Amino acid sequence: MIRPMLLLAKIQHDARTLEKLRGLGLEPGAIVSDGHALWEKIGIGERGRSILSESLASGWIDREMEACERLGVHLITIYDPLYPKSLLDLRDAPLLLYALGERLSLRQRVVGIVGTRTCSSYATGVARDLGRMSAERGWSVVSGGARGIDAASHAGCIGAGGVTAAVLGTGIDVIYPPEHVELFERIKSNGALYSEFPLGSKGEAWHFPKRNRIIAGLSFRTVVVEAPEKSGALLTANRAADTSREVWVVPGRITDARARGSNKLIFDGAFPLIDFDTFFEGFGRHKSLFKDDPEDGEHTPLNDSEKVLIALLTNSGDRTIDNLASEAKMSAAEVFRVISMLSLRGLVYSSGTGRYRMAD
Amino acid sequence: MINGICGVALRGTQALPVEVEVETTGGLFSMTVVGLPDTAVKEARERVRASLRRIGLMLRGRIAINLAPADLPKEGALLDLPMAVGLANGAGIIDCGEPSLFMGELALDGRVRWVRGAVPAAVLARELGVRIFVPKENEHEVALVAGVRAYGVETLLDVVEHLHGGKTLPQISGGSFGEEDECIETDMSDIKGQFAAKRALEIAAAGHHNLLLTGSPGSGKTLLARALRGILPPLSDEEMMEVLLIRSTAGLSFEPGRTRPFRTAHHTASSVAICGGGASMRPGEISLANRGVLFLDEFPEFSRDVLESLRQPLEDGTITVSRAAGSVTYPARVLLVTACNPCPCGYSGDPSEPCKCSPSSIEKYQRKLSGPILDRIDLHVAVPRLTPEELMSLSGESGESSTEIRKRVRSARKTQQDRWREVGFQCNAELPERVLRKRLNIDPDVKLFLAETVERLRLSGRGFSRVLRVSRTIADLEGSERVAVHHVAESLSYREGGAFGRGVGLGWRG
Repeated sequence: MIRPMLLLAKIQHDARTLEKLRGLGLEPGAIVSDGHALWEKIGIGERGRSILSESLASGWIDREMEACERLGVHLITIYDPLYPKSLLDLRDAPLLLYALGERLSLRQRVVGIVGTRTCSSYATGVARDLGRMSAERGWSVVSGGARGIDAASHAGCIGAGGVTAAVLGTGIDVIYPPEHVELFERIKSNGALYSEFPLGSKGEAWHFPKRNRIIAGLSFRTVVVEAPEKSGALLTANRAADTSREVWVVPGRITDARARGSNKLIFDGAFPLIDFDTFFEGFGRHKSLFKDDPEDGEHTPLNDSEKVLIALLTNSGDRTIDNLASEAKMSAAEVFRVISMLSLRGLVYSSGTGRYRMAD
Repeated sequence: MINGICGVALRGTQALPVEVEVETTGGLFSMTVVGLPDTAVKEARERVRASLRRIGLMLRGRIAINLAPADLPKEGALLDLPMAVGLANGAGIIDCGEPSLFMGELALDGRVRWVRGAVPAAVLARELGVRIFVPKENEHEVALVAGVRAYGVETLLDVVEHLHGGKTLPQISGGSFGEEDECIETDMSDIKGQFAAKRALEIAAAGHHNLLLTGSPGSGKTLLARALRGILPPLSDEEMMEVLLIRSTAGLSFEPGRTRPFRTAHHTASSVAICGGGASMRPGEISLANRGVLFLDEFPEFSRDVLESLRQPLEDGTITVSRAAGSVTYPARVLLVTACNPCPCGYSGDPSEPCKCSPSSIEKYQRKLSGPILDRIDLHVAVPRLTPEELMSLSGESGESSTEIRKRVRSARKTQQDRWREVGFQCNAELPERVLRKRLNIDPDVKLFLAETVERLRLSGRGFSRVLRVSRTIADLEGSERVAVHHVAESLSYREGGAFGRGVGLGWRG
């Protein structure tokens, strides 16, 4: 069954083509055995037909399968038990997924986090927190592996030991953006990379809106963290809404062009994400309530100066060392010391040049 | 030992004797200078001839002046005076008698002008055990060279009369480096707030750690760098001499007082301006800042050339300038203070002003700083620009004065000198990795903590050594013999990228 799916995936045909075959009472295998006449009948264009005959003649299928085996890439067809059931809600579900990673099956509940690549540090912070808190509640995080929001949400999830998946707009063996080599490695060991494009595909502009439907389909809830007026994240949100998924939006400053698109979604009726508690309500158990992770740093009691700084940071975030020192009546050296310890335990992080905030 | 009348040639901070020989034969007037003279030396003919006419000596016949050794390049106008004295001596007006060094540029009316390099020349005279005649304007710097027999001359006539025995010039004496001066140009207590950055400056001063300040425009990086000067321990006598020698070689006047040099360079500076060189192989900014602070603002904007050429001097404390004409070694032991913006527009991470940079331009900007040069910078500090409310809440708090901080810095330096003397180092920043790991003296529970930290923060080997070095200095400032967990915890805050909320995409590059 893999061979016809590989062929159809190569020319970007999806479940709708399968539908047409079924209407003719044919098995998918017919794609390989029958020829041009059938291809034309099920609506494969001239260009697609020439790619198909060229691929068949040159033995591309065998080469692609060999390469996948060599790279450890799994080919999951729409008939495969590993194929995510939630994708079947899409009428243009992908026929085949290339998958690479340690944990190919996502958890029961999946949150999709999307947004612009050129985002504010506020948005990065929120995305990271969403990733981490989803992981703590036993949810998987799906995003696109791009810069900005995507990277932050993957990283947040991995940091808390969660399962995360990146749906790529390139071939699964192409690392884009190139600086994400290490991030992708960690996604692989904590989850999986997915792609519907053949090995070696470059990230064409039209790939990305197409893969966004997969993110929308996989997710039970899609969160748009920050998106300007023309953004792929909005396409994801629209697809999610079309597929009867919940769309949540993190409200942004109304003067900030980077948040105009996402704010507009709220105006159009998406759920505004006004605080984490509301968002995670009914999201299952909170991990730290169950002491199943003995290494979890949160169980070591805080000392006095740590408590003081935590209290100050909870009160308001994005504080500088100077202000903390002055308000806590500590020396700068001591604040540095305590902040170091707190950030090692994942309770505090640097939100901008010389500024710190609570991770929660 | 030298004979007769000598001038000097400069080779770095060293002066070499140049013997001036004169021969006059009959014939029409001509004057030739041989012995690798540069243009300024060749042109001396006109100045020398005019000056001699002033004292009543008309030159006649074919004159040959030989500057020996013949293969040493000679440059500048400082050989005017010995040539004039040599001619006067040859004409029988004076009898020089004992061997002497002369230096000075002549004016057409016979005045002797200031020259660069008087201090190295005086040092040479002291080594050779001969007297030296220097321009009156150089007198105050020559006075600082103890044990030299030197005379300050105002005009060519002064020298001639002195050598003739008519009028005796007074010997230069009474120079002193002066006392430690308490007047601090930019005092720490004048800077409001900035406790975090001040703490980092204190550590930098105590352990001689190079420093990178990152912050938005207007956050006060330059002011802080200037304040560092005031908390450094004062210069010792030997250090004063080094500073004096280099300033004299570069042709800069000497400022009395024991405050360490502070030099800044603009980011358009060439590597010659920073490291030294040029036709006369003058010292660059890094040597002028020797024993003091070299401040490079807009650090990532410096050319690749400059950044690369800083590596070796930061490692060795000296810089060797090699050109076709030879090579010169200058001291270059500086505390490097660098400053940069968090991104090209400067507002990344600023709460009140949105950043206009794309992630790729931020990455490109930060990548300029990557690599070997960052390995020499132990301390990374963010200097956030405070919002008006934050500034208000801090107003009135100015903290300690530079004098108080300097006391702690001095005692920490003393501890380090005593500790590392047997392995041949002065301060913690100089320690190579092998010595560092062996002799750090850390608590056993620190080892455990470090092992976990390295794992969690994915510290590189170099990053790890930097954390150790800085921890050692923090412990020294506290007067603690052993390095404890809280010292290491603090030093983690100063690690590369420790205080910057970089976009996650960038953070992954570690």
